[in-house]
Amino acid sequence: MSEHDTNDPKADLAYVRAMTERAARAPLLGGRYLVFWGGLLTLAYGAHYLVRSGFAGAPGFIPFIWIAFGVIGAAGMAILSIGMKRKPGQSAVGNRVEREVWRGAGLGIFFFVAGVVAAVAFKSGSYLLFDLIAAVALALYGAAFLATAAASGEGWMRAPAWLSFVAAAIVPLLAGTAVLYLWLAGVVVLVGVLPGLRLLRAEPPALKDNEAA
Amino acid sequence: MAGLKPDSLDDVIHGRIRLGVMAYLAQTGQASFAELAKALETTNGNLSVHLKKLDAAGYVEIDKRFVDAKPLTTAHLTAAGREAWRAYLDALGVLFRDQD
Repeated sequence: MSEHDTNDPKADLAYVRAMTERAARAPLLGGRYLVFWGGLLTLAYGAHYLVRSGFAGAPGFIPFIWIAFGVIGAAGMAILSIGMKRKPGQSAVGNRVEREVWRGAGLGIFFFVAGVVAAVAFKSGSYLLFDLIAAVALALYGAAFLATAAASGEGWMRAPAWLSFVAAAIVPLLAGTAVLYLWLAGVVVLVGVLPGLRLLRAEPPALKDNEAA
Repeated sequence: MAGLKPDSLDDVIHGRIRLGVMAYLAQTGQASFAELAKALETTNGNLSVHLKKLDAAGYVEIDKRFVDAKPLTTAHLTAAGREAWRAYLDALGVLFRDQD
């Protein structure tokens, strides 16, 4: 349509509406992070289970599993962020909310872990506290999924949200047992890897900057 | 067209591509040049011309920088642009009211 068509206010309004909806309903861009962190957590929980159940390694290996998890996670985030600024829809409300709530969830987990480590190291806190980290994490995942679903219109995200809440409630029941970590490895596939793969399938490619001026 | 008052509509915004840019940025606040060109289904040259008009009016700011060693051009809606967009929508609303 040419510039001259703007003499029809109804057509203008329809155009404004179309552009507004296009801007608001951009695909979510967080799939790669869900797949990465979900996959990494599945491996870490699996390794934790093998060591804790006595199938592999020694109990002293467990801290190293989680240190490696943190190091690989930090490196992976740096790599995954490459090219993200060229993805269309970066500033759509769904993506802004998704980034903020998952950043908040990550920070919440980090500070809870720091508190648990401090409690065990300096206050003779129970090692059982480590098992409860997953409950806090799953509760935060659930809230993050619900907020992202509301902001993006991706209603299917309420399913992993409620799955996360239910899983968070089961963690205290399994706390203190090795099987908790085997179970968590499976849960994270359902609430991390699979939703992430679904988002990745719909993710648009990065756009090349061909600005003419 | 009955009730049309061209003087009440901001000429800087009242053009198809510029209208699209303003509608898009009013939602997102900012967008890359490539994203805008794709969303508006227009050519890079055409979009560039219209963005310059909006930039000259102070409605958008164009930011050019290198990200991961490649150029990235981004358009941001300014406070003046948001105000002008509100005024434009108000003027459109008046237009429809007058038609009724």
